[in-house]
Amino acid sequence: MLLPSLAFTVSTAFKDSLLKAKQTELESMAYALIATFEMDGSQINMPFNVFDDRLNMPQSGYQAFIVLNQTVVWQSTSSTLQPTPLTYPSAKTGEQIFADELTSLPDTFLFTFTAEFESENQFIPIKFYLLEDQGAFHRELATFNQSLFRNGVWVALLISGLLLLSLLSVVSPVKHLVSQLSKAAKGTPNQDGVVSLSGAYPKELNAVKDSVNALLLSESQQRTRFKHALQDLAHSLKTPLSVLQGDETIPESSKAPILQIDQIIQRQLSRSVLGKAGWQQHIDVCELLQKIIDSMHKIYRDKGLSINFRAIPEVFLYPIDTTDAYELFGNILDNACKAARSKLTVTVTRQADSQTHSQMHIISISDDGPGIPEAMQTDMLTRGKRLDTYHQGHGIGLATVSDLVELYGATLQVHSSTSHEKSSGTTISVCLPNK
Amino acid sequence: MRVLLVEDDSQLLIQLDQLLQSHGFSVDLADDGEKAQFLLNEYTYDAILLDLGLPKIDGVSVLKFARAQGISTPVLILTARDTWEQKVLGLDAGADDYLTKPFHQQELLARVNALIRRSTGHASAELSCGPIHLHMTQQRVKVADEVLDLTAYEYKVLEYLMLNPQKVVSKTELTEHIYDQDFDLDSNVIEVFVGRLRKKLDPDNTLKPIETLRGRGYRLFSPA
Repeated sequence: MLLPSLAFTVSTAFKDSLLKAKQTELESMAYALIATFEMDGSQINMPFNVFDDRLNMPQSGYQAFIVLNQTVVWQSTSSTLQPTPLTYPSAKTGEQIFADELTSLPDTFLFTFTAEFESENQFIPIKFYLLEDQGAFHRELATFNQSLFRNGVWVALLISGLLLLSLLSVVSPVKHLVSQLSKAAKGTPNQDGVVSLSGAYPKELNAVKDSVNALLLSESQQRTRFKHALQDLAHSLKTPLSVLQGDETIPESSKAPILQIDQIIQRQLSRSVLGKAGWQQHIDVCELLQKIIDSMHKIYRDKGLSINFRAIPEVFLYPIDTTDAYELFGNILDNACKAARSKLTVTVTRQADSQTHSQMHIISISDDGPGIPEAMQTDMLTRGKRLDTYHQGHGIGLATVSDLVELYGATLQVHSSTSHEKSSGTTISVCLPNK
Repeated sequence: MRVLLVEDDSQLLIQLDQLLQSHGFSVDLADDGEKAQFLLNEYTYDAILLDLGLPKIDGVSVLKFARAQGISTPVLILTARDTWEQKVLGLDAGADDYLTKPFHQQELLARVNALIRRSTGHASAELSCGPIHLHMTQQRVKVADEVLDLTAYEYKVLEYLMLNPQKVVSKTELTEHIYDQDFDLDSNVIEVFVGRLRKKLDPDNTLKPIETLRGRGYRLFSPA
């Protein structure tokens, strides 16, 4: 937009300048005619040919007329038309008129000047007209405009190139910064294995980079401190409880409150450890499930369980806090192992949601245990509710699962059959929305 | 059975020490990770009870150190950190089982016995060798349905031999596994225990379950 506007301004200025030059040129020619013109009484003396040759040559494009009392008293030899002074503009005595657009004289410049000459003791107004064909003017203007356009295109290309280069040099670090921020938002660690912005930036962006890095570090340290503090708190509270629980001199009536204190600590600590950060690192859920399964093999070694794990795709990166993921799948797998008679199946699949059509990952854990009665299936996801058919302590674990499912916008499905011993079992599916 | 108990809380350490000793275990104690590593380097144990939150060197590092040294002794983690992340971290580092604090003493004993059994390839808590039956959890020994009255050390010697049947067990190995580190090692005492055991297990001297291999040690074999 800037370059066409500039070109239009230059073209207009050139045209104005050219018009002014034409006016000056015709004015000079008019003054030359006035200088040549003489009156002797009522007699006009004007040579056939004047000093300026352009007025002597036919087809020169210049014409001159001298008008006295609406009558042409002289016209130049270059003149090819019959002048009609009545249709031309008339200037007052001592004044001049320059016109470039006259309906009576299309494509012609007109300059007129009215001078008074003394004749027989009176002053008579004599009008001098100079006409010029605009053909040469338009050609000159067109040549200038063509040249202006041609050079303008080159200049535009040059300026665009320079602008693009300078834009790239300015935008490139910003794009890099945006990319780094996006990686940090996903929790992708850099080459040093930490989540921070890296790379060289201009000094203006360095301040932003340093501030963001300080923020990320502070947030990470705060979370770590928080987790450690909770672990220390758990250690500090539970170790004395162990001593109390093992003390045989403790009266029977005190054992129930001790158990209650333990349950409260366990419930509140497990709840407070959970929580997703503003930005979340992507973790491989399949790798995490495999680790939990390896642990289950050790914990339930005596049961000789067969745990079959199938994952499609084999790597499933998902933005979830590691502690939360361990709690979510650890509790479900632990319950399934406790309930299972001989085998467990863990699958990770990707499916389109039938309602939203967006992709979602489904982690299903199936056991061949006795199954859960329908009435208890709702209870098992309610905080504090216990399933007596399972071992004690599951109420907290499953309610934690319920909390986490809500926190991550996931859904939990329970399918359980208690009808036939051979075909009984429970499948718990966690559907994680695509993020 | 000789176990290493690593726990920084002195009250719990004393309580568990008493519990384990009262159930026939020889117990070495460590109240920090550094001491635990030293003891693991110096002695052989049948099981390790390891707290994760330890001063100087944390429990997971002690566990990794033990496995890196090639020590395959079963490890039971005692942890107040009951998140699955912590449990998996400990099991992944080489632990064999975990127990979350606070725990019942009977559960601890059952877990330790199960670990020792598994590590010696026994699936059941009851060990059998011909007519001799030893129940590890109940600490009861029967010969042909007759319950024997054994002293704590006699029981320890028999339990160790039954956990390692057909294997030649030296006096030093027996001593190391039935006594804790502060005990004065005197091989004559072992001979006395074995002699008493033979009399109690086989008063008629017909079964002869414990064989003496001169200069090498003892071997328990299944009597015909």
